[in-house]
Amino acid sequence: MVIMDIKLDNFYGFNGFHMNLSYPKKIVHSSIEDEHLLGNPNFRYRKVNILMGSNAAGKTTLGKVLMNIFNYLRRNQLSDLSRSISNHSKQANFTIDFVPNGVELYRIVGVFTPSQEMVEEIQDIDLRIYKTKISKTDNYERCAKRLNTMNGSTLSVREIPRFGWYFTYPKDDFYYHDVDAVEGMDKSLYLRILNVVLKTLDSAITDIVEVPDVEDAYIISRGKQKLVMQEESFAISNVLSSGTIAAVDVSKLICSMVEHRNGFYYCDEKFSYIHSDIEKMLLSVMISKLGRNEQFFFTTHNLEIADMNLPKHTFHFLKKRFDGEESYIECIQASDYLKKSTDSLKLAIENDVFGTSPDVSLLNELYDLSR
Amino acid sequence: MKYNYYYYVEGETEQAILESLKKKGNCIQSGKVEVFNILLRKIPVAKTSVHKPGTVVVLLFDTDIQNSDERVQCLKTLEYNLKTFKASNI
Repeated sequence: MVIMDIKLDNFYGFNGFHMNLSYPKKIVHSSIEDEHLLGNPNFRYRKVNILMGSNAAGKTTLGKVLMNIFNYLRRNQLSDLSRSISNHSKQANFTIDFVPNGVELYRIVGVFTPSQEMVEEIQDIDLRIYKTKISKTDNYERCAKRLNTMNGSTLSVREIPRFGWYFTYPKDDFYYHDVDAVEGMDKSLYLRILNVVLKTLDSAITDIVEVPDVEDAYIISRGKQKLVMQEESFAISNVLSSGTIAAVDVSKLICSMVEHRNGFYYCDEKFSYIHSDIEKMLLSVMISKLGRNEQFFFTTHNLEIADMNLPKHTFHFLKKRFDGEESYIECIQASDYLKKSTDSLKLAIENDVFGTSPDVSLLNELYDLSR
Repeated sequence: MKYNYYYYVEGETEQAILESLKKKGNCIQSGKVEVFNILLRKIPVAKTSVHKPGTVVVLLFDTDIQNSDERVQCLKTLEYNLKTFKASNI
């Protein structure tokens, strides 16, 4: 599944938000292979999307809105999407262009009618769904133009081909993760990945084995200690580092990518506790495992990621500004600013070329504090 | 762009001017901007640790102080801050 364009208005901090995920020209010798639809090199899409930006800039909530939209489409579960509306007395709307099956571009326009009463959820949504066939020579812009002219009868949700997703958030987050896949996980593959990843993070780990006859349970041997892990929670979690615990989720994500089970992946700040070199290596592994017509979103605060040899169009910077009480999140594309392949993205971030660095001026007060 | 640039500005007005010049492009070198009145406050030595050695630090302030005693005090603070930056290879 591939998202091509997102517009959000009045969801979380997103007002008049727009993010486009096509890119203008083919990159020669790109480190990301096949960044276009299978069998259609003109239909270019950003396969890997690295989201950066200050705290509370919208990196996590963007994933949550997408997750809520997908959940509504698949499970007719409107409440989470409705709860992500920022101001219920105003109209909220979203438009999402996506390719669920590699051959058709779908556009879904959802409009929530404002409520006059103070309600927690709005149940009144007007949904319009259009689609157009993607020919062998089409690019996204041409298909989108065709969709722009459609305004008559619309499709029903049931007519959208089935697609999967994999959202994963930091463990302390309320949502944590949401996965929709066609098939179950290959346990032996997962165990192999878990062994490799966890042993890299913690050299004291000697082996990880499955507990027979118990669902989703593993024994981690660490020196003389045996730790039991079931459904990603540990019996003695204070023995393992925060990074090692986070790596369990990362292993699951990698497993899903190897198996191409979900097709759409959103990995939100899972590497806050993991060494930068390991983060870079695992990110490159995940990129290498992405299949045709699949897409990956990855959020991070790690500046070292900007030094990786990835196309500039991979990097997006989210920036929140306030106009009165209303917040506006803007998506700034690195490729709009840095045109030469030799331009250093890391230096550009350090020099705040994208205007997304946090204002730290207020923190100066802390230097003056004393008892 | 070869170097890291960092701007210490006197107040929010100067901050807004610099942000606007940055957006225009080709007016000034882009860099991070922080409000810190370099004439009134001494830079804590530990604060220089946030800059990479070799960072080009630009100080922006106005010279509208009328009282001569105050002016002397400001110049002394500025001199102290410049020495602190130099000592940190900035």
